[in-house]
Amino acid sequence: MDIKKKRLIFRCVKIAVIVLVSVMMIGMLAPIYFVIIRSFSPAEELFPLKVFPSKLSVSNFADLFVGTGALGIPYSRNLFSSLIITLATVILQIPIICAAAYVLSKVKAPGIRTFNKIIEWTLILSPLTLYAPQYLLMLKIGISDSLFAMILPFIVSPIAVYLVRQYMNLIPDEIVYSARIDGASHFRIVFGIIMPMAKPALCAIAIMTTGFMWSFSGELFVSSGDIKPLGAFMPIFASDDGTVGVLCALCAVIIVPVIILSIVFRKEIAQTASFAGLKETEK
Amino acid sequence: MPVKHKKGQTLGTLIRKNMGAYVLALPFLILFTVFIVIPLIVTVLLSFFSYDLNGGFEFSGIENFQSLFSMGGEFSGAFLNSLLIFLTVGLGGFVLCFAAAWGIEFLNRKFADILTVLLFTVSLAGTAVSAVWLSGGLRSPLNSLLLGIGLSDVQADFLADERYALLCVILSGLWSSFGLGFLALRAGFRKIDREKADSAKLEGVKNPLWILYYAEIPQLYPQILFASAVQISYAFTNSEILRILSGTSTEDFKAGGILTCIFGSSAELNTGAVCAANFILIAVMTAIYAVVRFVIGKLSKSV
Repeated sequence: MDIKKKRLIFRCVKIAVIVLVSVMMIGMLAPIYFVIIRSFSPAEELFPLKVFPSKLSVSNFADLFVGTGALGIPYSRNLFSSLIITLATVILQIPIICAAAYVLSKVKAPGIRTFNKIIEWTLILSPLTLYAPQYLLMLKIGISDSLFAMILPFIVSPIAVYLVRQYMNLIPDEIVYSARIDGASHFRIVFGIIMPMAKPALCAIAIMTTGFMWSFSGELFVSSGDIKPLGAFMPIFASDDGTVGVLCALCAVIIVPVIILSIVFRKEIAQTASFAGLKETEK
Repeated sequence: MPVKHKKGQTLGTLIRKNMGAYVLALPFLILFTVFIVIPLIVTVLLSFFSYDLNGGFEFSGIENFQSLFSMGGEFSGAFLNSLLIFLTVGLGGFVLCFAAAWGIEFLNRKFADILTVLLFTVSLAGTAVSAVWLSGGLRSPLNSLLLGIGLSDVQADFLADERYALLCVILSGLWSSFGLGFLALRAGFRKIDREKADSAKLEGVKNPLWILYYAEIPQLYPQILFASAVQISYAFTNSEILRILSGTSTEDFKAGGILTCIFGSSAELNTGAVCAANFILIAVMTAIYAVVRFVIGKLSKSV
């Protein structure tokens, strides 16, 4: 009887957790669904809010990027700007982070221990928390108000390098050791052997960075309208009833690529989650 | 370690031997120094100096901090907001992540993987989507939705309204808190050594909370540390990203934290005071992180 009772309680807890998670999921998925479905709705379908609109069109996207409709100006240039900062950050970040994480995890040389400690203590610093001094610095070296101002500060992220380092800690040292004996250089070991093995962690990092950069608004980092990324224009469309469709289209452009990336790399994300056992560093 | 060093090797030979490794880390080190180390030093230095555009520096002690707190309670309000957002979004988000990571563990493996990816993806889009719903002041999509379902008295410019701003920031913050910290916690639960939990079950322990506390959490300290670092960094910056994406000005934003002060006050405050505000922000974050590290360090030693 007692065991039955406990089993019942356990089952109740299990059901409660499932219900809670599903409610959370619906609460989070519904707003995303509405944004996407409204981005494909022509103006007459927007009000009132419909779960299944009877007509779909791409006119909102045309307004946004070709400049038809009420806007009159195309925002394709800003799309290009977003594309450049996202691609440049990710493409530069992956090898740089990967090489640094390898050195932190697998090389025993003077100074590496201190380097590890510094990374552990700077984990909490994201680029935004250092914005003010960074801005002064970029003003001094003359890269403020350029695309560089939106790329360079976001390449080095202590969180990213820490995650990749922890993942690499799980790769046996013997692999590196035997490659060294065979005469392979550090460079070849990183990019030939270690990088493919650390792919899941690198994918998670790449998706995270893409998500951040692709929705980046560039406020305060740049002031010229031409090079402002897409995120900067969300507030502009929001203040007018006539551009709600365009706003949803812009938001869809901002979130859908990230969602697609996560779905494409779902295996890697789940793998990061299954093997990235972040074991304590003994260094 | 890959290359065993013999004792008695001089520092010079060690460095020369590993030159390749140093060169590999060089791009990271340069960018890290320029964009993190130097800004940190600049923050600390400038907050104790008065600085004018002609390039003159003068030591001013805590004058900058005094001018911050004397600006009509604005900074103290922002400071309190930041702490409040940390307590709700930071701690609450951590508890949510942990509970979700634990709860998912009871599901079958395939479903667990799908749910992990789904939560991660959905939370990546969280801030942008909540910004869309909240932007546009009184004509925001959320307002028209509320009007549509008949709640016509709940109409407000949500982020500029004292009654709703914090709530919106907190909900949006919780929504998008399933990031890398969540992935790390999931990883932790995945690789847990089940031996202890199984033996507890054999001895008749049926309460999953008991098993979680005594057999599972002690194995999760590294993940918990990482997830809390992510949450700390996230809790102090996310409301600002929401503000920028929704186009609310710093004066209107009623849930502004220290970062809002830094972003918005560049006109009224001198560089020294902005750096002092930044110094306080980083000091608070580091203090919280240090406490978390200390507690986890103590706990993991006691196991």
